[in-house]
Amino acid sequence: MSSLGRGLAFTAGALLLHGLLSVLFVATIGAAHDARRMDARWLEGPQPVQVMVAGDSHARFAVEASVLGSAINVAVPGEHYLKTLYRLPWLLQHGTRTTQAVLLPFDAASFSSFKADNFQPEVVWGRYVDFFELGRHKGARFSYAGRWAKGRLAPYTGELGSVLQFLTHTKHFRDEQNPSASLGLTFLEGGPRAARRHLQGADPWDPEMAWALRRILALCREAELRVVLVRYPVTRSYAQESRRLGADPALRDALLAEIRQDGVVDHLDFEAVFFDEPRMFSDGDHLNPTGRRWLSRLLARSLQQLGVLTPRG
Amino acid sequence: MLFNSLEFALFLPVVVGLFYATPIHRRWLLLLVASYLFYMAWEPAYGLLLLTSTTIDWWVSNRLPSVDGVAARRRLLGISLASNLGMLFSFKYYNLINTTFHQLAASLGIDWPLPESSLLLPVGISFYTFQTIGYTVDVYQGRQEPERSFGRFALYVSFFPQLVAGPIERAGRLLPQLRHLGGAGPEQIAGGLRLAAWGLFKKAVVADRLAILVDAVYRDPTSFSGFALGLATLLFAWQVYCDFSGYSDIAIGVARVLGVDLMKNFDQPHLSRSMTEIWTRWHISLSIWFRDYIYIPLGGNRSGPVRWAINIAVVFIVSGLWHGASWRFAAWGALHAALVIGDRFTRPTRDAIAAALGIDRVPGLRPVVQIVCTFVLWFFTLIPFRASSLTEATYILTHLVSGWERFGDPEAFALFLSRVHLDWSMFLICLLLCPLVELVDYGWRDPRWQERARALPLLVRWGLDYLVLFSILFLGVWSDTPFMYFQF
Repeated sequence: MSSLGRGLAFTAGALLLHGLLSVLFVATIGAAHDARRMDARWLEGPQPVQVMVAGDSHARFAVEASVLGSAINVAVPGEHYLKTLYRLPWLLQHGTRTTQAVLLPFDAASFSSFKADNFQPEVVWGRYVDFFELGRHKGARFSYAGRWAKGRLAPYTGELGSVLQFLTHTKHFRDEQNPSASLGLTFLEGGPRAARRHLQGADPWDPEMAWALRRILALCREAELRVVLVRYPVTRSYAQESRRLGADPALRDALLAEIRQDGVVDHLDFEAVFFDEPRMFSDGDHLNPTGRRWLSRLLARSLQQLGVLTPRG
Repeated sequence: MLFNSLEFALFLPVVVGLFYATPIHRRWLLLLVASYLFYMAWEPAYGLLLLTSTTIDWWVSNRLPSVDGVAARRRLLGISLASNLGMLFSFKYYNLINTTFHQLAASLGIDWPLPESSLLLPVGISFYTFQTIGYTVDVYQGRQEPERSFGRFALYVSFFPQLVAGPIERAGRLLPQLRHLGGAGPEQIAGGLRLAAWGLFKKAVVADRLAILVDAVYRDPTSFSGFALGLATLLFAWQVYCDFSGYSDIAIGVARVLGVDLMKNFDQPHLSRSMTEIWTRWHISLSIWFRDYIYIPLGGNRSGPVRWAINIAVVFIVSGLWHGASWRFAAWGALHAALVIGDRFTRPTRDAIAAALGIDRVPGLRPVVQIVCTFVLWFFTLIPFRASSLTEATYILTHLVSGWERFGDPEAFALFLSRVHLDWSMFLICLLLCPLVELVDYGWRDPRWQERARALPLLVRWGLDYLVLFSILFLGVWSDTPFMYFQF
């Protein structure tokens, strides 16, 4: 075989393997990811709901939708405002379900830049996120072109972590039937360590997150959806360490004063409700099943008082 | 643009394709344009800086042969040195000197009038200024004929594979190749691509993965135990090796695809048997540069031991400052000087100890002992190199032995892993990658291993190539992490 022939044969083999790996990745990990499973929940039924719980792991592990009643929890750990900005409209445009209100997290971690640039796996988040629009917003249209290319052309690139999680049924691929055994959250991690993970080395008030939240609120207004911003419970030590690391509650309060509008954008603050009750938490900033049930009851009552949720029975 | 970026993945095949489609006598022009585009992708103004340095040095080198008189020739050389070192000073060392004088003046109650500079350090300036200084000095000393063609000289300075992080090439080696860009044969192209792929593996898979743990610990060393500090430093040894040697491998591999042979820059430094030997295996092109343009002109080892020690100290302190514009790096350089000086003066004693212990009676034992001892010394020098300040380095050094007992507890270790954003499987992968890198690098330099590799059936060789290729894609950390030596 000539050198050119060898080169072409090698390249063809590489492309074939690449194609196989890509298909395998999308069919397994792409399909089993948390976000896809939550999307399926939303898409599978026609019944409208009064409340859609969106957001990150704080929202996911804090709210039991069945306790609220006419509600659905589609929050995904790791989802931040920049992701919600694209995923929320996608959900509303797909399927036949409708909702009247959206719950969004309004926590210290919500405004941190620590995961702002993380859209892995792109094959999942690229389903919603317009990377070129995001790049254009940041002043360089093609700055996220690599993410787009990865999501569409080479989905398994840099995804060792996702594969390991998939194989061990942890984090975004956990076994829903036995969440406590495979949550992927460390039960050893205290509040301060969790706060450091969210805030140390990051910008505690990333303007991109505030911008994304404003855009989400504008989209909800256009869609005539009520929004409830929720500060989910954290441990006292988490809250203290967050403040020490620069997560200034006054900044959130100032933003809230700017965007709040009774009956359109409401606010519920449960941050301190379990401050001194570690039995409610699985770690520094996520509720365990007991805490989730308690909070869900409190949340349901508050949402009823706001007129977002109709009392059951 | 970074070697580990989408832009470069698109840039390189286009440049290589155009290179081989271009008539040989025009290829230098294509590479020159490509090199400037490559460099200006960081910041367009950098191109102007590079062009200025190139123009001055080309003019100086072409004037030198026609100028008589030592004083006049020295003045010309002075122009080149002043422009290159002046640029280096302005962008890299001004703030260090200014801050130092500011602090001294403040301690004397005097106002220091000069403001801080906000100029960003242009990528690669430490490398290409050294390369051109070396060229001009060689022309001055008659070791090198001046390059008459401005374009080819500009290509020598800006050749994109080695522009921003070396190897620092000698004109005598690189210029003749750039004058006759005949390209490479199929085997050479394949070899170059393999080497570049291996370099990318070292960078994206090993260095950037190890960086996750190392950065987490070194970001806040006071909240980690001695075990964690030691582990992070140990892994940093492979992080910095893989980062820098990975870049060099990519540079050499890419150049080989274009038919240009760049010098080897790393030779398995972790297998060094003395601190002196490490500097013949680590960043070889820089070591040679310092040897030829500072150490030998100072007298080298031709004078007595005291003068030799002073020469070594000067070379290593300057080398330390080359690595970073901070007194911490000067101290790091001084530490290496002390170890190299100590290596020479303690050799007879160490030989006597080895003889007394009977180490030489066991075949192969002495080299192993030497390698281990050298690595331990290297390990300690990495601490001030990686720490963000001398204070932090001192803290780490003085707390290395604390808290080790806790890591016998699996729970404590699991907690440590969660704090550094790793799980057990990722951690084990990190550990396994380090000896793998040493093994493969050994294979690259051993002609017998290369012979055996060439003798493998084609499909087996392709299988190994696919394994490396897809390992890079799958295992790599793709987060726009620059190469560490870019900061120098």
